[in-house]
Amino acid sequence: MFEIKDITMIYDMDKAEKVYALKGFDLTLPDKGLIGIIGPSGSGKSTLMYCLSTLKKPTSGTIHYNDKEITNLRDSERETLRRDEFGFVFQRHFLVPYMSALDNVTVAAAKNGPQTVEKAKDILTSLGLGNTEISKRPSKLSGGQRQRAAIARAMINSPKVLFADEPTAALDHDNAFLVMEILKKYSSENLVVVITHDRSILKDADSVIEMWDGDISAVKEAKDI
Amino acid sequence: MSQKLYARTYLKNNKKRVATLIISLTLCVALNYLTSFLLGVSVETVRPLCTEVPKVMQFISYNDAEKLIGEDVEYETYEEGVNLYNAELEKLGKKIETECEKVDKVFTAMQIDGEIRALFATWYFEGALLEAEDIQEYLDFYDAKLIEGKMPQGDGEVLIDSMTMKNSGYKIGDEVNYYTLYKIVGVVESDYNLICGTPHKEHFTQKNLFIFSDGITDLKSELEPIGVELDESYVYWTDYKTQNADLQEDMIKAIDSSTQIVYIGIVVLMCIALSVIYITFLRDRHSEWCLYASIGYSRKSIYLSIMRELLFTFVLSFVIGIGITALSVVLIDLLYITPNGLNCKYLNLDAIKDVILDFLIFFAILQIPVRYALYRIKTIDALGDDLY
Repeated sequence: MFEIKDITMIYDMDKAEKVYALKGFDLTLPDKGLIGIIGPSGSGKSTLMYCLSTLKKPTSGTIHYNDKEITNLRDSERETLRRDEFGFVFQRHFLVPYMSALDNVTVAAAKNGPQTVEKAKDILTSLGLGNTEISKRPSKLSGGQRQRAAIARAMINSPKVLFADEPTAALDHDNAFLVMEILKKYSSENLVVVITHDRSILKDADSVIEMWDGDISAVKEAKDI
Repeated sequence: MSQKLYARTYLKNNKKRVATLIISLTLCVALNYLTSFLLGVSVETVRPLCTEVPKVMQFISYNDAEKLIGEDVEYETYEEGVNLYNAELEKLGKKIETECEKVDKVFTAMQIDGEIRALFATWYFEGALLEAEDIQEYLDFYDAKLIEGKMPQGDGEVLIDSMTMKNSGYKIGDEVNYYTLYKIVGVVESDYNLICGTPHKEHFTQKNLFIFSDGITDLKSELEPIGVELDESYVYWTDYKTQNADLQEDMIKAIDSSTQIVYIGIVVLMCIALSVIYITFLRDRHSEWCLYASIGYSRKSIYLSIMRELLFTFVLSFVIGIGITALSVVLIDLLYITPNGLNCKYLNLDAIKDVILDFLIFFAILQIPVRYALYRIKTIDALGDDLY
């Protein structure tokens, strides 16, 4: 699904001392499965996710998504790709405060209408949010409920790739494993890329990519995790 | 249906903020329209005096009596001079009455002025002091009927129309001061502002011509063919043409410039106030839009959703503003304008045009912070702490 060739990302290009976030490596990601990207802060894992999801453009190198080069797409094409093919779970939920949990999910829908609302309710319910919770604003939800609402938002368009950046960082242990269960289930038919520095949540990952200082230090398959 | 950011989600969930904008815009509608309306009360009150009364009655007064009696005619006392002048004026009146086809009647009479206080201006109009037996005929030309009190009989008694009575706050028995005091003995109902009565015997002065005609609008050109010359340097006369010119010059131009100053003031203040309020609202939504951009919404989609929100706010404000303004206009009329004998015009198309123009200006001005907010939209990096 993703073919990454010699990807580099340099911040502060105009400064004398350049910061290499990605140092030129190759990587291939499959069509489905739970892929973990692990590494300490500043290792480049978030930058890699942003490049894969077209939120950022790499300084050099190529990324092919389903055989299509996506680093040189126009803004409108990147937006369409993010909307139709990708879903995002951010580290800090990022729910719109004035919207209910349900509205926070439907706002991301590629198509509006009554069917979308029903679908959003179904996803929220399947993620364990009851009818009362889905009409509450984020401020009235617990951290776990917010994160589940954020996951539901990421899933509303049934994306082929779901990017999750530190999805359990703000959650307690139980909620963290619950979220990972949801993502694991979703990865049975889609690609789920989880960025984390917490190795324990990746015990069910199909493969784990370890990053260090902007480069890949190791790629471990399920049997090696 | 394709993907769209609905304005109603924001509007429904941010009622206080939307209400702030709506109240500001509604106030602007009301302030603008009511300013024009109240300033217009002066014009509308005076307008019949300048456009309707002169169609019924025209007035001639000589500033320089010698121009009428002849510069070489000699007289010894003031009374003798006035008598000579009044006799010549009587002759002139008869001449106009008989020779000018459009003229129905000319009264040669002393003058008394009525006064209309029109909110931001005071306007005077001429009335005749006649022999008691001529008063009914004089009133007939105004289609005026006595509705209260009695017809003037003795010296120094006057009738005033009901609207002028309301306007001035007079009641029967009060006295009007015009060089000397005249007692109000009756009220007449008429479409026109009028004052008339009997002179004081001891108050002896020059008379004037009160001409009742069938629609003379330009007295000067009507009288020229019969050899009566009206020269501004020594004759003062009123007809539709002169009064309408006075209305335009003394009232409408002055009111228009005041209205413009108030209008510009309101627009500038509202632009500043709205921009400040709106920039605050936009700033609070920066992260929200960055989130939308991150999950695949284009700037255009975000801009269109902002425009839909703004458009809804503006249209609703306009409708509410018009409703509140209409109610205010009716209340002001019932509670102040009519009881004080003033006139007003409810529908002022120019003021409505101004309000619409205001809204277009505000809408255009608010594009600046909106465009800047759109320019600042980034994706994931810009998501801030104001999202949960």
